[in-house]
Amino acid sequence: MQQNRMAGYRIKAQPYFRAVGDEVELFEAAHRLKLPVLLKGPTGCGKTRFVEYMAWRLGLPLVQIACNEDTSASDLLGRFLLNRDGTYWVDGPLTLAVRHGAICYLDEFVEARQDATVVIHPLTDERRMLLLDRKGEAVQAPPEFHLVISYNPGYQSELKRLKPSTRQRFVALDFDYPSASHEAIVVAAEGGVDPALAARLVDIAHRSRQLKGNGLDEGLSTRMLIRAARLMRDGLSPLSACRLALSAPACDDAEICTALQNFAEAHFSA
Amino acid sequence: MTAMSDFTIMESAETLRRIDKLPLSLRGAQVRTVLLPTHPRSSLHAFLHGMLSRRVEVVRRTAEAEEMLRPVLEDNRLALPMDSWLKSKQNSLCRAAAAHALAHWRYSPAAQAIDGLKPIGRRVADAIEDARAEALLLDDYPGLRSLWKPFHEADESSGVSLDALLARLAHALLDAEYHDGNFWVDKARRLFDAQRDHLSDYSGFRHLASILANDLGQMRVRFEPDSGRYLRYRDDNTWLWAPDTETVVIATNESNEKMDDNPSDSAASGAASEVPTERDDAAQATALYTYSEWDYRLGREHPHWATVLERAPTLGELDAALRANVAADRLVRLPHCRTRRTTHPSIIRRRYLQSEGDTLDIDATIMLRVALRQGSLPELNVFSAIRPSPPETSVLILLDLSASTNEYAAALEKRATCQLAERLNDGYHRVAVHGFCSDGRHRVFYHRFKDFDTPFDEACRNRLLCAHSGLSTRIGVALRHAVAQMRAELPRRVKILMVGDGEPADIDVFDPRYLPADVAHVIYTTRRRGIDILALSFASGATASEVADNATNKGDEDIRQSQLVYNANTFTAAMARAHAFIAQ
Repeated sequence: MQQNRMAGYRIKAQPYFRAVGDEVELFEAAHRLKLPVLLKGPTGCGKTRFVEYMAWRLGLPLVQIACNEDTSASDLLGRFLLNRDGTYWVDGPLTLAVRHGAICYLDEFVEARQDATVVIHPLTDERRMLLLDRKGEAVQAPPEFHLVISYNPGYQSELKRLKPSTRQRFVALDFDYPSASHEAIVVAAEGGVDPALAARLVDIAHRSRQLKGNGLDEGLSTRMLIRAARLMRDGLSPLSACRLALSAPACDDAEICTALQNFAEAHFSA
Repeated sequence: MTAMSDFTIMESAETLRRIDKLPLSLRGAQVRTVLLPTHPRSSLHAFLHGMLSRRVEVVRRTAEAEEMLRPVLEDNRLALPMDSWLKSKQNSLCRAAAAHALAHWRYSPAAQAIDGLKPIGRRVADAIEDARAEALLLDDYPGLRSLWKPFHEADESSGVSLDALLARLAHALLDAEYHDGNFWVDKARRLFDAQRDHLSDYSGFRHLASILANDLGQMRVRFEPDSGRYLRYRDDNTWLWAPDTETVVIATNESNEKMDDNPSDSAASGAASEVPTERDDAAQATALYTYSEWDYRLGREHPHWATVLERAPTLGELDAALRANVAADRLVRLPHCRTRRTTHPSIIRRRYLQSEGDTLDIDATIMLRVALRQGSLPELNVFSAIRPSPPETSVLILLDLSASTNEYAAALEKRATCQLAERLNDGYHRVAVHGFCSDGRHRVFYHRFKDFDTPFDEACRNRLLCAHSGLSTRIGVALRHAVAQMRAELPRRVKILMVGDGEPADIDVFDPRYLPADVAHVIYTTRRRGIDILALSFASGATASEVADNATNKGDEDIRQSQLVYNANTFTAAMARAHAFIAQ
């Protein structure tokens, strides 16, 4: 029954992931010692893909929760609902992951409300338990359970910083965009384009990353490059694909969008 | 007037407009409610910044004479003679010129010795170097060819003048499909193509240029200066060559003479900066902090550039009239400060009849059961939830104590500060009152009249009212220090209210744009961190009305709103504005 319940959370095929360094070994070490992991890095650099890959590699179900400013403790733990016979309890995604020994990935965790950040504390120390105070239950996490949170320190305001009392409960892996050659291999493999074309896309991204803090909050991400590559493979002209997937979505400043498109035009003729 | 006066910064009309809306335009003292929503930059800046991984200036070069028709390149600057270009072609010429400049910055060596090169030889060397740098850039960025190609129009019909031949040569070297037919052009292309595998070999191409120049001499082609008629996107290549030594010596002598001419100036500025009341040693400071400062010309911050010295303020005599005014202000009823009760930290609202929540609302649940048994449509919002209330608000009032704040304005500022500090002492707000003045970048004096956890008592009030105004106004650094104080107040809502004349100035800054740009930068970054800032400025009645007139004449509602200057007659309005800012 439990296996069926978690079937939908299992990663069926091996996700594409190309390690930059020893992040796979480090994550496995943290998993062996049951240490919760904090992933830091810019948007679209491969944090989520890495967690998917590790879930597949460790053979564990993966429960992903995208946090936002309305994410409360109840959204993670669960709540009482009503039916014709009265009330009944429904586990939240975090409780589900704890009960079934899954990897629970809280994406952009810093966005969640303060009460949500506090409920994970007992899970992150030696107790490894989840307290469902509404239900009067303490759920002990099985050895397989692994808590992973991520956030992007680049554009958070002072009010959206992770508190030290939370931060210091985690081991952390820093993510960043890989080197140009590495990123080109990823874009070529994921986007289905030849390496030379992928290298040109990566150069556009590198140019854009120079503008971080000078008109752009974040440079173009690897995820965006992959989408541009896929559009090209699908038959769109390079400049149209770059406009659709790179320069237009990157920001709302017309001058910066033009500059991003100019990077693309430097590579590709109309 | 320097040569620089020929240029206006293109970064630009928008930047200048915004900076002009900042304290710089607070000439005579005004209020600022300023924010730069973004660092405005043109796409050309962004393009070059991205391509070079460093920031360069793009400026407009006024075209008054024939020689000034070409762009001019410097180490960190590209000047474009946009006025001499047709409006319809300006955009494409700007982009082509920027890409050409990029080629030089990336691949051309600067300031090469002329080594007795004849004028005709230099022109050929320029043409070859232009082609070499462009070819190197095209290897990486083939798309740029379409930017340059439309300007390569010279062909056989252009003639065999030096200008025409060099333009035809450039055409042949850029466009593989173009066949010129002229012996010299074809030979140049053949030799150039033979070396295409060694484009990075600068000296090899200099040698090629000298062969071609020699050929032109034998062909009796007459030297003529560049007319600027062809390939108008290309710069004048002065950046490629070292300046003539003789000219440099003359220029140096001239500049020395100029300095000697005005010995009294430096003495005068030294005397002006001697202000005995504040120019004490840094040893008097209770604490020292260093901060960076934004340089708009470089587009980055100078790290550890300015020093804040925390120390007790210099006190003068207590003005009886000011004290009476402060007492009278207590009796004035202000429009009620619309602070919601929920801002009080102790009031946490449990909201009922929610569609989701952490507990069931028992009454609503019973009603639901009743409705179900009756077979009627039930109300499904049966949860209750504790919604986080807005946090407590911390307000730091930052007072400008510089000399530029005249006695009249200073009195108004102190009245405003006293009134705010007293009225906000209501349990809903935490208030601090700090002040500053400066004497160069390493003497930014910061005074704490009241901290968040100390009461605003009689002694504190007297200290504030007696505080001496003097020295200069380095707002940006003081603001950085104020922001640093506010970090300890997070995660409360935090606001900084600057009270002063809003006009940044200091004895060691001569560029009128520098400090306003720094203030703009600090405000921009501070707001991005979630800290609100309002500047409230006071001036004498005449100055205030003059500023208001100017703002009205500009016809810009935004400017008019942001340049409100208050005087004694509009004091109540100023207070209402401040309270609205704090309550919002």
